[in-house]
Amino acid sequence: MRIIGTVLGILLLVAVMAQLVGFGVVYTVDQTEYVVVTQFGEIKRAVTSPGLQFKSPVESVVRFDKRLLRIDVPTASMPDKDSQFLEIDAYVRYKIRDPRVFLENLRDEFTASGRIGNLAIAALRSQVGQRDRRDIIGGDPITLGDGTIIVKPRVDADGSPARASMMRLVLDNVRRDTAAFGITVEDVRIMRADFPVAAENSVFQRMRTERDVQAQRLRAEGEEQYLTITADVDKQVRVINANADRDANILRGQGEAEAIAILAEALESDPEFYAFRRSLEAYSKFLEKGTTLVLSADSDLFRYLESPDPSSGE
Amino acid sequence: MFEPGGPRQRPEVQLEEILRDIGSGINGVIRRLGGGGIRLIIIGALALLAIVWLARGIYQVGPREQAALQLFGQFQNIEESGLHWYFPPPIGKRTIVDVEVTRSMELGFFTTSTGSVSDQREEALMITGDLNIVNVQMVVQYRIADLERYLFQVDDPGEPLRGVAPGNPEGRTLKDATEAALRQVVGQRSIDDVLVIRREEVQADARLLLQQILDDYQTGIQVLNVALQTVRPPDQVRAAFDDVVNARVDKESRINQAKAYQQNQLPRAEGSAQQIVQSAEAFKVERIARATGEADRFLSVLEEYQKSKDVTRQRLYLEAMEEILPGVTMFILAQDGSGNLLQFLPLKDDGGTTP
Repeated sequence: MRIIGTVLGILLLVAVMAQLVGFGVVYTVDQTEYVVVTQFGEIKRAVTSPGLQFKSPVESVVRFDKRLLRIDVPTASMPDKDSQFLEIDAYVRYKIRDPRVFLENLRDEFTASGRIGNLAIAALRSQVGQRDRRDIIGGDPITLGDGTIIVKPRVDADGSPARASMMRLVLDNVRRDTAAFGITVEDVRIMRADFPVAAENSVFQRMRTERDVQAQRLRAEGEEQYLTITADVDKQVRVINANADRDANILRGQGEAEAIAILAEALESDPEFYAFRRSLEAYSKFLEKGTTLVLSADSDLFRYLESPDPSSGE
Repeated sequence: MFEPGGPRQRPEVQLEEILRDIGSGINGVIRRLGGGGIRLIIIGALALLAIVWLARGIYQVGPREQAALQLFGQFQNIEESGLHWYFPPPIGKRTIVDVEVTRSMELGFFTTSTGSVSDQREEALMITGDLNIVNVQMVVQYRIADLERYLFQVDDPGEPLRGVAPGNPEGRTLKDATEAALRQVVGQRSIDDVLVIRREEVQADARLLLQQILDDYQTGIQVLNVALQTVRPPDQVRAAFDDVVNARVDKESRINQAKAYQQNQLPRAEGSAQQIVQSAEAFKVERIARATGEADRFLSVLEEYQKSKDVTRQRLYLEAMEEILPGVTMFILAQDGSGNLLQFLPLKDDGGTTP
């Protein structure tokens, strides 16, 4: 019976609560919500903690989201300091800090989106207008030795990244402008920063010419290498040939010198005999068949031709 | 399992209706029936109802799941896997979510439920640091690391047109953060970096930045992996980029041609050089050998000559003459020494010309 009693007790409680809800006396506040209680349009109080709440039947509740909210800022075209237009698509994330103030100033999330979105665009526009577009997208391109390009992100004078410090200023400005709205702007972020669609074709054109430059450069480099290598080969070939000629001549010279030395040493022992012998040898070579030779009859050769007397030819 | 609900979700509407129905029903029954026996039956019926209601509070959390419990809308705690009881609706609310499964989000393309892939050109085309346009597709893999934050910290408007359901941070919020992070990273790199050289770095940086943004928003989402898929130049400039690739190949092949020339020419040159040097070497040896031979021959002859100088000399002379003169037309001048050519003796007349 006691269990039944307990169960009945709970049921009774539920029934009573149901009655109260029916009269609009009990309501719940979700973990993700704020509630502002109003009576005939007049703000009575704000409820910021979740759970079961009571109110009088004549009061009504307005609910607000407690979570981090998102505003899609419409894409806006804005000029940088060189009047180059950029398409900036950003979003804002904010939280309602004081639902009462929020209700008084902005009424609802929809209105808030419009108002805060416009403030964000204004803040972005003023910051972008003071910047070079390379602070926002890109940086300073550096061409490496091999022709590839890398990009060095821009930094401000104080060394912090240009885009980050710009966005910090935008956030500060939006926070300042929305201070009275009962909200905290947590983030303003550029999702896309692009060229206007009209400029896309000229970008493509530029990309093509940039690639052409790269392609031509590569081909020229190939030619350069080809010529360098082949010229070097030709040079080496000539050097090899010249060295070979040099070595050959040195060797021939050595051979000749040594031959002369050897012969000279031998011939030195009787130069007269050598001259005699060598002359005979030479005669046999240059006195060919058919040569006409005029000899004196009293030459040694014919000494015995007329008389065998050894003294006759003297 | 968790069902996504919008930011305007109001559980107490449901509560009001249900409680009102139950309340008015019970009151009606009690008013109409007043007797003692019937009273017991009523109590029994009510007890049964109560037990049925309480039984609805039993729930199970799977091994990879967590349950977030709310009492009258207020968050209480996270329950781990197992069999549990908690106040059933309308008093309590439990949200059970798989927190281990790897979820993925696509950027730049969109796989439909039927598996067909459609390009999201607007998402995929982005600007690089050297002001080129590149087409990037990426997949982000993530899991829910903090269920409380995931459910209660961030409102997500979703984007039903592109299959992004509203309600949880893994919709528009994750997409926003991913797009912003990737575009910022790509926007600070050259197109060459993004296309070829530093893909890994782009992934790592995008992941880092994305996680930082998600943490700032307290989404409770943990990024497991960021994987670049297709990264290519836009179709409009494709040909120009292909030509650069071709040019790179051309360059290599030109260099290879030069190397082939080198490989062909140098050994030949070395060979012919060897030939020249060897031939000179041969010449040298030859010359020395010949000289040595000649010298030895001379010395040998000389040795014998010195033994009987005059005779040998005469003999040598006459032998030589013997050999030479037969082939020669000879004129011998008379002994008077006048040099008159008319007095001659033709020694031979079968050769040479007649003067």
